[in-house]
Amino acid sequence: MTDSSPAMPEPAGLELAMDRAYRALHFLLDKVVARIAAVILLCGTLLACIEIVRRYILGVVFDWGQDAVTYVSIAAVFIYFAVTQASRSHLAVLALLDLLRRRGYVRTVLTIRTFVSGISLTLFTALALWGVPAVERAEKLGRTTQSMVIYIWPFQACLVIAFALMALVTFFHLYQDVQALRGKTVFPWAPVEEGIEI
Amino acid sequence: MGALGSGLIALLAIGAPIGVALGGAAVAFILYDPVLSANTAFRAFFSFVNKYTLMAIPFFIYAGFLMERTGLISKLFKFADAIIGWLPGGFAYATLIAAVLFGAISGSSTAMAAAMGVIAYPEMIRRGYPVWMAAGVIACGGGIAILIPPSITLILFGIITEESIVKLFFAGFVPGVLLAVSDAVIIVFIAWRLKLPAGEFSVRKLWESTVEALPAILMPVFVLGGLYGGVFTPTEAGAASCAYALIYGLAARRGAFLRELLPTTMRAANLTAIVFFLLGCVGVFQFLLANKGWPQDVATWVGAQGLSVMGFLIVLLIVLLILSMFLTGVAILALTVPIIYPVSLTLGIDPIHLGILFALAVEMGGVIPPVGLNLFAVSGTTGVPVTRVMKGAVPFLCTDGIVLILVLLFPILALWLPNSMVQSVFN
Repeated sequence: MTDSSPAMPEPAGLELAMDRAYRALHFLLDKVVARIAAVILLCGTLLACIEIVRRYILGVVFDWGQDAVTYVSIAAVFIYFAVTQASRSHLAVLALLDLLRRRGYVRTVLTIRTFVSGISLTLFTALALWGVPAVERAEKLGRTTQSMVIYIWPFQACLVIAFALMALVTFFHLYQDVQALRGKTVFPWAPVEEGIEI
Repeated sequence: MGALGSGLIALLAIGAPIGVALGGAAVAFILYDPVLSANTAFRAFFSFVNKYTLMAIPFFIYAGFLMERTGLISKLFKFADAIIGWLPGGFAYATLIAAVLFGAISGSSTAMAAAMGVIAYPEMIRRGYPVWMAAGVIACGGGIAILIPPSITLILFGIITEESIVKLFFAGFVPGVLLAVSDAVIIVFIAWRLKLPAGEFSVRKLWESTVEALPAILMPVFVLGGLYGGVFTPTEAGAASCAYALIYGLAARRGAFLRELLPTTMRAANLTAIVFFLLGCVGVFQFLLANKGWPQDVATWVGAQGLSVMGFLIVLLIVLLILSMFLTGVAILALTVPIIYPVSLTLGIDPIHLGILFALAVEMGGVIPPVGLNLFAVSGTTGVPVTRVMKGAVPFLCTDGIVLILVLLFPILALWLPNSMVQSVFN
């Protein structure tokens, strides 16, 4: 079977550098970050199961048990935010864009996508930057979770890292969208699964 | 408030992720407001998602994915088929029963519609059911998961409003059963009109399928029994579901299950990340709303329109049905509950009744033509054109509408069980 689609020109210069950088980031997210997050989520789940056994069968509980389950699990989910962002699978209302695309307003759709990527990048960057003083303050004051045993700042730091990674991924999306507006296709290998349903 | 609302609607319309639209609009307002400091947005996000109750969501999602990997879902179908498949149109009832049982494990409507599309559709076609009917049954059967505990929609409603999730679970039971029964009535009618084939009843087949499906049937009995009996909290019930699925998966499939464990966990983490990012942004938005007292302003405005409680609920349901044609249940809850809930409280509407009405409207919206999400999920997995899925969904949609009207007019249908059961356990 022969491939009838036109051959993509090989990237060069800045385009090549961006392609390599995004490939590296994708590899990091898919093969490292996603797996670490999954293992942490599994640990959180097992911890919750152990807590049930301790509470209902052995009749003893750790004060910090519920806190540990909660914060271990949310740390895993925070870490996964960027993986989800990389595939652009956060929930969105795409009815208008689909309609415009069907009517042939492709350039309008691309302009809107670029604008949305710009807004998303601004939001994630702002949240990451605003999170840093919050983490510093929590660490300085020694703030703990409800059980007064577990420090809260490492988990806030996870959220800051999550937003920073999301901003980084969105920066590449913005680049991809701007290039599309210019009539160029970049990162054709990057999976995009818009409109995932729950 | 007008600027915030307009900004939010504009961002949603241009396809911004719903979390980005909610968070972006709120952050823009916080920056503009001289009283609020910028980093409250980060703190509001973090505080909203670090609740122990919220962990029920990843656990139930994870349990659903794990159960799917154990292969028990197809055994549930065999079991349901053995019970009722011998009646004319029996496999359609079996699909409904499997939907209710799987709903008690998974809690996700579209996931269930997609899963059933793969398992039930080919079998119905093989047995001579019309394509439109097979697709319609699956599209509408999937919606029952929203009402049957552990419904992710109801958990989210409970978390955003801080209402009792256990009460919501109890409240969803009767409307969920009503939906299943009303759908069964439609199947009886279609089976009679089209003279659909009946299977053969076999005690041996029933016994074998019961033994095979027993671990899947016992899971909701064990988990929901613990929840209803007041033993487990919803989060513990979710964790117990995961433990059950893990133990069964390891015992039944050993190495194969272990190899699939990490990818399955990643799928669960992906779905949970989508929900939690949205919830964190709801937290930022809700913080702003509460800080500015806007829900009270909306309540005052609604009061000034002279709408009765019933009038308000009817308008609300119409809006929800329209929204649910375009958005998933999670997104609708995230967008509307922070504003509607305080208004409803001011009007004296029972929050548990409100939660069930939300769930029913979301369930119906999933199959309302032309853009109901379940229609597309079933079309995608079965390859049936959306128009034919719609044709099959219409009769079920009518009975679902009747159930919605009944629950609207008679709140006791939703409130009787939680009022009589939960109080006796916890009060």
